[in-house]
Amino acid sequence: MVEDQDQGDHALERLLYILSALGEMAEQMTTNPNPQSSIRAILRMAGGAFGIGRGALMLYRPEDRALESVGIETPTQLSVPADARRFFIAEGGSPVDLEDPHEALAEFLADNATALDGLPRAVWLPLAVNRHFMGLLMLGEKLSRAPLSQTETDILTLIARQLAVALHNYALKTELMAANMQLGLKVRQLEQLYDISRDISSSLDRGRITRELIIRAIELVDARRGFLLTVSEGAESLDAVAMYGFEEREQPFSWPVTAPWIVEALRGGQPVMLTADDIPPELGATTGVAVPVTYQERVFGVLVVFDKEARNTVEPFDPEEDVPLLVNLASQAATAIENARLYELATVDGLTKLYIRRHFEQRLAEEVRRAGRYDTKVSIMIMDIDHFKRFNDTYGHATGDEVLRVVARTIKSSVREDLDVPARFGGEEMLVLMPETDVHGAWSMAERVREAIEAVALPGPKGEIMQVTVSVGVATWPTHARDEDALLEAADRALYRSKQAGRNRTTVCEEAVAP
Amino acid sequence: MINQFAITTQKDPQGRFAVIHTDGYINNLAGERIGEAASLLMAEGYSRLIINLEKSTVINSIGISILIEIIEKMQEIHGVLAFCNLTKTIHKTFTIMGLTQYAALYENEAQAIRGVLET
Repeated sequence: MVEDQDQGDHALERLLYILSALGEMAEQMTTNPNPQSSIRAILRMAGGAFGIGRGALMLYRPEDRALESVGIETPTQLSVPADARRFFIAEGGSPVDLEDPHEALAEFLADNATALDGLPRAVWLPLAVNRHFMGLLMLGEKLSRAPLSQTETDILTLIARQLAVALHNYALKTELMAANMQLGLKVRQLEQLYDISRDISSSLDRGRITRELIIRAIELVDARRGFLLTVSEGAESLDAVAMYGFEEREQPFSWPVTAPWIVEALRGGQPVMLTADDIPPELGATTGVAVPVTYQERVFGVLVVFDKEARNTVEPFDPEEDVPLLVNLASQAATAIENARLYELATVDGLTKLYIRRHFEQRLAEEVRRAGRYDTKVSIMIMDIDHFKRFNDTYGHATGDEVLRVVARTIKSSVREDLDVPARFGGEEMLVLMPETDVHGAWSMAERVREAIEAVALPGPKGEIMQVTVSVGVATWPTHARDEDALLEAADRALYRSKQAGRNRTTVCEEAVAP
Repeated sequence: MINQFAITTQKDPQGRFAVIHTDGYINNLAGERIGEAASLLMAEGYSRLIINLEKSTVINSIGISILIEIIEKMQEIHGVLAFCNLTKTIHKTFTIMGLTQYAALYENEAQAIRGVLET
């Protein structure tokens, strides 16, 4: 009787110990974020709770239908035939009868006979949840070599089911984290693309858009260098513009339209991955991507970037990640470039590439209004090419046109980019609008332009050097005029005085208006 | 709270036995250190091991599992494993888990040494 009582107390104490270990396992499953160390700890806890020294957890890898060991010294893999996998799912949590194995396990046991020799074989508990096979819990014999009691088996089944749920949750969490990371990356890329598109679209200057396109494309995909190849109707080669990362190169690159990758990009309108074979050695690059810049099915450029930077080395561009970003960017830039082209057509003089008179007058009115609001000054210079008629009469209209083009180029390169507005007023008369510029500043600017034109050595048709000079008149609002028309008249009067005084000089309007 | 666990091993100058002294809560990390120390001693040829638990008052299920593993390894080499200076709690745990049937328990280290040498 006393002996029975002692045995009962012992069984109860043992059950309490197992339950306490179960509590530790539950805590481990919920608090340890590292599944590998968590699984090892749970295996140990189960061993300690049931008096088992050896255990292994085999995790199922669906991609190659294999079980991989966790918690044992020698890494082991087991192949899992479809029959065995279906059996383990069906039996999820219940101990597998290893004395008389189910026929569905025959192939599994035969295929993995050698590997199974080194694994615990007293109790196997398949881990499955929601028709997902997660793994196999394998336990060795108890220290006492006694079989597991029904209570112990029931508790192990409970542990196996909880473990399967924990593993499934962890797998879902891992998938979710990976998806979130991918999504976060996409969002950041889209934000970046949006910012770039907004910056590019805010300009109507084709040169600036092109430069911005190259720089941003390079930043976007961590390239080392790049350029835009411009496509001209009937041309035999494509010229690189807005080169970035080729500072040492003085001459722009030019590529024959017959280069296979150019043919592919132009005809197919699709991105082309470039290998070292496609890239001339002088470019010093080994990988690249060429993305056609297309607007309404017309390819007017090819964006090319080279050498993806990766921790001080170079790696190939990713066709899944980098190329779609470049295609999107090129598409946004194409619209901006086309808009800029149309804007140029409407506002720029075809011969000189200076703004046309109407655009100048519109900008002048705006700047005068702005100067009025902010109490600043705005100046203009008006210039006329000295003896222009002689160029036409002596050398013909082609030379006259060339003189106009050279003078226009010199004006553009002498004034402040993005601030001053150079324009062709008509014939050989040209203007520059100088916002936020007083009389002294305007005179200095006019002299700079005049001197730059005087310094140009323009070769004539017979090889002689043609001297080109301009006479300039300067006027400032509100010093010399109350409105735009009066300002133009004031500058014109000053120009007349320059002509009268012997040409090739700058004169500032002398008549100030009353404040 | 960080568990401070220390382990020291003492080898008989004549190579007949070795003693592992533990100090602190025997959980997973501590248990693994005991397991490693025991494996090392076995590899060095010690087939009589004593684990002195005087300064360890608690052991969790992982610790028990590792001790079971050590017992099984000692059985494989036909060695002798003994524990000494067990607290009441640990003694009770050992009894519940049946470890007392496979490893001798002694009051103190001197008795344990005598015991393993006589075995």
